[in-house]
Order: sequence, then C-alpha cells, then structure tokens
Amino acid sequence: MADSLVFEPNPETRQEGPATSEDAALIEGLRTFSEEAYETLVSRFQEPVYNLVYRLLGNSPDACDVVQEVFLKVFRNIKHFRGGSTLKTWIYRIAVNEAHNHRRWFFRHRRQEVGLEDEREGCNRISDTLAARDVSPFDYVFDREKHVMIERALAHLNPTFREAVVLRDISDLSYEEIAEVLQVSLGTVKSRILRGREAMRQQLAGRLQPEPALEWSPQPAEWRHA
Amino acid sequence: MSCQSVRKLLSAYVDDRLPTADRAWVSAHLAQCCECGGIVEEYTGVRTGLRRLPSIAVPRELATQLQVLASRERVRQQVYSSWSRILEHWQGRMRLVVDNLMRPLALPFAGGLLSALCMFSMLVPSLQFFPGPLSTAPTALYTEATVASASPFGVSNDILVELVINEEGRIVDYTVRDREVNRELITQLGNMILFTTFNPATSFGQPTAGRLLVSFRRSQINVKG
Repeated sequence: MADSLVFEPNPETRQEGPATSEDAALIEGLRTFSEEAYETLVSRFQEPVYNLVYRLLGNSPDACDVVQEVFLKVFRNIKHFRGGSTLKTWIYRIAVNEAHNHRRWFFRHRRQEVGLEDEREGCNRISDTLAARDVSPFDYVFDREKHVMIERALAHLNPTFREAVVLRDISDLSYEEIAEVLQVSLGTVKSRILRGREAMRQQLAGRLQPEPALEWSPQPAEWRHA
Repeated sequence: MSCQSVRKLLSAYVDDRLPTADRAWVSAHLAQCCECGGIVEEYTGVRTGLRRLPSIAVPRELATQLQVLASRERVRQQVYSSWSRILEHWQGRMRLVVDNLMRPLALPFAGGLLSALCMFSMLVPSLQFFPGPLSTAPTALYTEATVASASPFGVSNDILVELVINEEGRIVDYTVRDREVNRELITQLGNMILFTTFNPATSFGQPTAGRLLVSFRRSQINVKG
C-alpha cells in the first residue's frame, strides 16, 4: 500500500507544475514536525476531503472513518511525497483509494448490517432546521427536493463513474488533476465523466426543470359601477 | 455530422474542454439539432445541480479526532526520526512504568518493613540464646584429658597407670599396667593420684569422659597421650 502512496505523476496529464510554494512550505513544516503545519494541513483539507469521501460513500459514519484513515496515511507517508504534483491531488488520490477500499470491504463484511443511528447525526445543527432568511419557503423546499434527487441519482451511479463526476463537478478538479488522482489517461477521464453525466441525465430526465411558481403581482383595485 | 458522434463530445463541450475546431463543429450542429441542444441543457442542469449541492460540514467529533490524530502522529514521527530520540522515548516510558508500578507498592512496603522492625525489637528481649563455649578450643575436634597440676608427693619406683577421668576432671578409676607392684607402691600411687588435678577430655567443645595413660617416676611424671 505504501508503494501506491508514492506519487508518480502521470506523464500524459502532467501540465500543472510541481507543488506550489505554499504546498512546499507546508510539506517542509510537516517533515520538520511543526505543530502549526500539522494543524494547517488538517484545517485546510478536512472539509474538502470529508465532502469528497462523503459523496463517494454516501454515509457519514463511514466517511468519518475513512477520513481518519486518509489523514493517518498522509501524515505517515508525507516523506514519500516527491512534489511531482500538488499536495491536494496527492491527498485526493489517497482519499479516493481509501473510499474504494472501504466500499469493497463494506460489501464483503457489513452489507447485511443496518445501523440504528441517524447517518447524518453529526451534521445536525440548529441552522439546518431553521428557515433561511433570504429564500422563500417554496424555494427552500424546492432546492432541498432537488438536492435529494441529485444525491439519489449520484448514489445510483456506478462507483467508477461517480468518482470522476464527483471530482469534476463537486470537488471542482480539472481533467488533468482528475487523471492524476485516478491514475488514468485524459481520454478515460472524459469518457467516465460523459458516461456518469449521461447516467444521471437519464435518471433525472425532465425532473430538473424548475416548476412554474405561482406568480402574484399586486393590481390596483377597480371600481365597477353598476 | 451525426448526432451519435456529436453526443460523445457534449460533456466536454459543457466543460469547455473541446479544441476550437471541434467546439465550432458542435456549436454548428447544436444550432440545427434541438434534441442534442436539449441534452446539452440537461448536462448543464446536472452539472449545476451537482455544483450547488451544499457543502457538508465536518462533524465536530471528526474534527476533534483529526486534531488528536495530528498531534499524536506529530509526536510519533518526531520520536521515530532518530535513534537517540527512540532511546530517549523508551527510557521515558520505562521510567513511567516503573514509577507507576512502584508508587502503589511504596506505602505498603514501608509500612510492612516498619511493623516488622517493631515486632522484632519487641521480641528480642524474650528470646533465649544458648550460650556458646567460652574456651578457645576448637569445637569440631576431640581433645585428650591433660594434667592440670601434679601432686607434691612422689613414688619410690617407676610405674605406668591408665586413668579414667570423668567430664569434671576427676579420676573415676585406674589400672596399673606394670605386673610387679608391691603394697607400698600402691599406697604411694593412691596419694599421688588423689592430689593430682586433671583437665577433662572434650568432644565438640563439650567436656566428656576420657582415658589417660600416665607414667609416674621416682622424681617426676611423664604423661603419654
């Protein structure tokens, strides 16, 4: 497994230069055991990595476990990072591999288990349950329904295509970065994104168009004389 | 220009990842084909919908666990960075283990030792020790009886006598070895024996009965062991 963490940049897709100066300083700090560097790494990557893993697994407790594994591997293998690409790409690659391994392990061992706890228990905040001030209740509910539909369609995607779509449209990586993360060619990346989007389009066909909302505009009252 | 060949490029078209020539070709097709235009709109809708998915906040427990993990890993990496630090780390751990082991035992151990000393000091006066021999004689050997002081009386003729001496140094019996002994000589021998004192024989330091062969002469005593 350690070999897979040694980042070998894909020569076909390597367009972005080596790690940025910010990355270099952070890596240097990690290699000299700077407390600040460790904290910076966690605060900078915990949210994107958690979001990525959550979207790949669709399950909060599993995502929490996988994110911890990801950071553990990052800390222990930072000395193997050669700076051939960005730190973000390297960490995302570890996250995708860990999520993939976790999914395989889950299907082998815990497929039949049913959890009792709420999957998003840790994410419940009071702000999630209060109505937003800047949107109408209709828009809020409509957006929420749309998000649920998209999340369901995403969850039904083939994991291989889901990885590419999530990295492109949620993590906002470029095609070259996705190729680096997934260790595939640019053509394969394009193909996987196309097939993923096509599968989602077919599932969501005709359901993403906004419903016409009731329109009401104040009109001056007219006196009708009998 | 078929729809089938164009549709393979629509995803990249939405992402603006097509070469200029291909992009112009697809745009020209989309201007004529409503079906392919609808697919582009749907791809854009999927893409927009995915991008608008709300970011999920990291659970507080996970954030805390990650901070703990970072701190622990930093220390671990620091420890295993050189042999001297590894040695120092293990010394510290061993010291901690010994401290944790000894501290709970320290009070019971000290209490037990003090109470044992108190009990011993209280029992010492009541103990009776068997007094050892005061003489300097070796305790593990047998020593013969010896003559302590000779009698001032003498005998008229030489005579050889075997004496039996008890543990108090007194003569219990005697046997004359010479065959020709007259009555006068026996009387002189009796006086001689009566006023001669002896040291008893000893066995392992303790006085015991023993035999002694004594030769009396007219003017002196010769003792043969």
